[in-house]
Amino acid sequence: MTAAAIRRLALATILMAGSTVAGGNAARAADTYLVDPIHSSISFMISHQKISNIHGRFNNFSGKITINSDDPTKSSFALSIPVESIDTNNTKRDEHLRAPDYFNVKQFPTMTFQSTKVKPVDGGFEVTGDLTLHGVTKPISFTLKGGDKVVEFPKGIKRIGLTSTFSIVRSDFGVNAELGGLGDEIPITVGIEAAK
Amino acid sequence: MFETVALAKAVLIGALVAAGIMGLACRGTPPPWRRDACWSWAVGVGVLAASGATDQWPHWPALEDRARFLTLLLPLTLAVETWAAILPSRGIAWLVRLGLAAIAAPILLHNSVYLAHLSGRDSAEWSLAEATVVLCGLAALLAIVWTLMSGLERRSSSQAVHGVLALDASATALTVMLSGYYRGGLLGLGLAGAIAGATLASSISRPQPSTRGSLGMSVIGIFAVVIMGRFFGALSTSLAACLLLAPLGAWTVELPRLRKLAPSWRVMARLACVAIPLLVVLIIAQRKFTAASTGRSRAFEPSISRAFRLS
Repeated sequence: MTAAAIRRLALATILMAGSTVAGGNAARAADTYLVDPIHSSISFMISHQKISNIHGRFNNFSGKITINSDDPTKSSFALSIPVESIDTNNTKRDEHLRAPDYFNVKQFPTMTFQSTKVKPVDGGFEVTGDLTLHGVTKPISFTLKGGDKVVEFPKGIKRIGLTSTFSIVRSDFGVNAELGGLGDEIPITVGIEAAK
Repeated sequence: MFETVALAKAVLIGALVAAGIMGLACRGTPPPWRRDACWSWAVGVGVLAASGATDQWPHWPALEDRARFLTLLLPLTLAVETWAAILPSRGIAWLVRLGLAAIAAPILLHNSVYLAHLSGRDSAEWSLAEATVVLCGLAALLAIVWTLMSGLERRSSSQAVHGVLALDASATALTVMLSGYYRGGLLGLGLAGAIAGATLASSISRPQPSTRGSLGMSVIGIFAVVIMGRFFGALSTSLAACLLLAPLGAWTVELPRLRKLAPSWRVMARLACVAIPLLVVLIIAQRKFTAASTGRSRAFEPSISRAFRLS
């Protein structure tokens, strides 16, 4: 083997090793997690007669979170909630909420969120995306805290946690029944664990 | 609590607008087609006015059942009934009406979980075969009720048949409300008011409006409210069928023995034959509602008076 051939071989080896390392970094940089509904919650609160609040939650949902640690702006968040799973601790009220006077689940069975823009902020992400509720799609923005700490639970399963509190205006989405007695602005609290 | 003001507004606005149109349209000596069409226009515009008065203006895109009724089915019915009034051939008019009966349910159920895959692949509740059977069955039911009530209209009078339909529309509206679909019921109350208003106005107008197939708006309106209650609210299939078929009870008076009754007795018997099953339906619906409110709720809604409000 000539000296030139040895140099070419060494260069090729270095390049291959470099590309392998870079590839490994890329795989780590964009990690995709699936929302773990058992350790997550999506709850809301609605003002009742302007004197108190009623709390409710959605019992079923799924979602996919992609965290790109190299370029956080390429991270993405998607959530899908079957509206049928609404639970306000009152069967009759839940049935009425599923009816066309409110969510109309036979017409609009799913509520979805898909991020369109993600900006890293201190301790989390500033997320903008499209919320589709009651057949109406509107952009919303909120701050998601967390996502930076990865824990292993149970062994072999890596998970991250994200939390957020924000509000939506239900009449913007055509859910406008009883605006006099029930609040229009709905605070929503999201606590999500996602695993891979 | 029933929102009494909204309920009264729906009935009164529907009745006043329909009565006004009926009175105006039948003034003087209107051409026959105008007399034929004025029933449908009175009822249709009455329903629209009542809907507007209760914050349910038609809007586009029509994403929900109520909006599809107000923006598509109602104008289509008005167009078909007006065209049928102008057409010299009754056979062609009925062919078009049967076509309308066939598309009424698909319009109301469009893009719902029954027909569309809204939650992913193959997520529609009905397969193609099931959807075909249900939609054909509903079309046949509507066509049968429509033709039989029109037959009765020819044998008796428009006022008599519309009176029966007003009764049915009222019971349908209340039952749909008790089945957890307040706004659908409110639409039905506007319809009941409009039918009643047009009937009252036609009773005092001279000359009397024609009786040549003027039921389209009323029959399709009742059908639409029943479909909304059944497929989007929690109205049971048996109660829905009773509400749709109850007006046919008016045919009882045409039985040979009852035909010999005095006219005033026949009117009362006709109303009784329709009102009794409707009353039974209402009682069942109210009991179901009360049971659901008191049995499953946890000290939140202790009485039916809080039936339709979260507030």
